[in-house]
Amino acid sequence: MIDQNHDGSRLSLVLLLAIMEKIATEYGKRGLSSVDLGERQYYHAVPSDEMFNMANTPSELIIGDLEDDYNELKRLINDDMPTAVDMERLGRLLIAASEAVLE
Amino acid sequence: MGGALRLLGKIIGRIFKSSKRAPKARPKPKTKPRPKPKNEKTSCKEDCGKQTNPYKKRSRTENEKAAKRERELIEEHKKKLEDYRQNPKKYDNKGTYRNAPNDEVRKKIYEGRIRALEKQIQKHEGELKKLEEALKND
Repeated sequence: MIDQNHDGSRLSLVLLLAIMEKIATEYGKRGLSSVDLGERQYYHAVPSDEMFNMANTPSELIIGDLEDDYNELKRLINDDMPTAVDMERLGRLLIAASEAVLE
Repeated sequence: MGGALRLLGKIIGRIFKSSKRAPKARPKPKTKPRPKPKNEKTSCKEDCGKQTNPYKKRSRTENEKAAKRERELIEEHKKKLEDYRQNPKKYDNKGTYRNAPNDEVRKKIYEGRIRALEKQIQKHEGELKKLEEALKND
């Protein structure tokens, strides 16, 4: 799939969706359509409103909760309204999945 | 928790449901290009990062519904934050908090979790603000 709108600074959400589909399909073929997060629940994270400011190093990390992220995202399957917080949760869960598939 | 990549894919689909696929490239018609008005922004490079309020393009009904849901989510998150403050062990399903090596680590988890929940509330409030701006100018 070619992203017609790509100009280097815009992010195509449609393209990301196609990429996620590809990742899920490929990892499914490898027997990893679901991943075991093991004992992982809490994680360190940089607050998203501070992570892109290169002039200041974030002084404090936040602690995310993978279970909370996952449970909140499952609301969307029941047709609840997606929000910017959901995008963030999704990103954090994918990071956790990327660690888990290496084990 | 069995993190299912397929479910995450579905969730991404739900998040981006309203996005339309990019149309296929068509050969350009052989017509003279329209002269560009002086102040017209046509290139992403000129205004990328300065996102216009996307909600202004939606109907008032849709924005009102979304604003109502954002308010509900803010309330839900405030309750969750308060609940966490009172009883952090309730959310500690894998014992990370209870079995922390020392009080300092336990305190870090507790305070970091509170900061995370506060940030989520702030983010919801940011989206609500955009919705309210769109509704005000409607």
